[in-house]
Amino acid sequence: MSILTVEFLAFAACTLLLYYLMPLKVRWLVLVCASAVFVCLSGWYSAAHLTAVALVMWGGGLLLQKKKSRLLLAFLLVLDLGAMVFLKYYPAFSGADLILPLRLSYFTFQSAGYLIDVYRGKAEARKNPLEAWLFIGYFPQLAQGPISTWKELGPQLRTGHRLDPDSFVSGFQQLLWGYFKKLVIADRLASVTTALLKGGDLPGWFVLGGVILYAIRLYLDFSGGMDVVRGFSRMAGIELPENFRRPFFSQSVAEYWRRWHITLGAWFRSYLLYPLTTSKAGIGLGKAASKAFGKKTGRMVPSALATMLVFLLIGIWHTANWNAVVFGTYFGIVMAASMLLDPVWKSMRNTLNLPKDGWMKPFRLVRTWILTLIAQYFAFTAGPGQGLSLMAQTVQPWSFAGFAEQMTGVMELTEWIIAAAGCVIVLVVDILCEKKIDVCGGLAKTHFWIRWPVLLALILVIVVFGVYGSGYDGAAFLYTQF
Amino acid sequence: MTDMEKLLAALAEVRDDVDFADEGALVDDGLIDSFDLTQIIAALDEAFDIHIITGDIEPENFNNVQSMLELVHRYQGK
Repeated sequence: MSILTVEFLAFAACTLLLYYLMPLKVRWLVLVCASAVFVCLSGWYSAAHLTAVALVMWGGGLLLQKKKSRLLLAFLLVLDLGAMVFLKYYPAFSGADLILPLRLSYFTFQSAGYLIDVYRGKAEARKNPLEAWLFIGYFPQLAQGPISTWKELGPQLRTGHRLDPDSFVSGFQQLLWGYFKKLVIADRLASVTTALLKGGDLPGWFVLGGVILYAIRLYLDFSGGMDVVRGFSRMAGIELPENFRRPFFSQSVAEYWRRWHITLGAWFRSYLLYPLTTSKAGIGLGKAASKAFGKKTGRMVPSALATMLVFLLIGIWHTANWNAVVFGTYFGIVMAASMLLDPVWKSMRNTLNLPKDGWMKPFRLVRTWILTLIAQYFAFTAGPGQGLSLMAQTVQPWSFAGFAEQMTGVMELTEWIIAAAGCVIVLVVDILCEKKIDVCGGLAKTHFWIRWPVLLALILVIVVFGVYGSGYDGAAFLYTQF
Repeated sequence: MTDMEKLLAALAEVRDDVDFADEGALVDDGLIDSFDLTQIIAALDEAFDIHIITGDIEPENFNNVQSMLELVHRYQGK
């Protein structure tokens, strides 16, 4: 059930109603039942796999708590992650057609994180299997993410929350905002990507503009979906972790990755980057490299190598194809190079007497945009060949002859105007949030007669300008298949 | 040389542009990132001969020099 359907909205509303009608103590069981219905509607295969993973996680957690065994943890992780790897990557090599459970990579990572946290003493193993099941099966999360840790989500799900009018309205606002981003803008921009993928003799400006719009669409699509599920959760008193913090304002690629799909980055950092770089082998490698390259650079070598591995895996995590390998390797190289060359940049800055802020800020912003856009050429194309060919088209001499025809060939002028107006609204809100002006919080606190007309106008805009068609539930969320 | 001086010297090796002594929320305020943390752990390993395990890489242990020193002392059994 997509979160874009009327069925989902009705389902979510019924869940909320039941949640608040039940006594506090059993409210979490409403979430269990709703999630069970949701996952069963996604197919028996999803329900069976999720339940199997939850059982491994529950039993494994209890065993790990009893006996802190590294061997047992390794066995459980191989079982947990192995099933995901097999289901996700075996078809890519064999051509077999396996059914993927909904959000397999998300709940697998979340369950693996739980097991490691119990092993590290960061989480207490749950005795009740239903609690373990709900942690990975909580339906809004299953619909869109993020990847939560037990500490962030588990206790909140188990607690019965009282109806708090402020949280309820604030959640509703965020939910509407998410639908606005997804239905009014992101889905409208889908036709630009389609035009790019069709190929043909496209002018350079069109390709570059299309890739920029793809990046914007991906952000609005994914962060919009997150707003919907975070908004719904807040209406039930549950705060899901933030997954996007306005990544397009980043000053460096490293910062971009701290603001884009935050919970995925945090997972890799906590469960792979840190263990690799701070293990005895990692520290030893750093010491050996220090002798060859000096202490500062030498110590960075393990981090640089681990970062390259992490980004390769992040690429492959998204999908099993060569584009994902190029995407991950590219970001790994950019990150490792910026880390290892940091002393060089610093001395260059000092020599040229470049300011720390001032005009350097927009310069760094544009540089980050360029570096991340290069990767986008490999995010939506069919393969590295198509990505490279679009890149080649971008740098060909630009001709603006036939500009109007080219643009209206993608979509009508009114559609462009609606998409542009939507982007401007999101940009203004994001800029205000960057300046620490809490637009949503501010709106939630305003007078009833200001707040509700604004929200009703937003609903009207979504209903009127949202991209719908007959029997159409919007372009599928770009991230749902992971 | 006191342990605090030793710690500040080790931290300065990692980032000479951060005022470690006076900051209270190094991680939470984004003054140091995950890569700095891995360098700091390597630096502490060398300066104090301790091996910090992954489970202890938490913001609260690295937000300020006092917390870092407490962490070091915990490993040294002081």
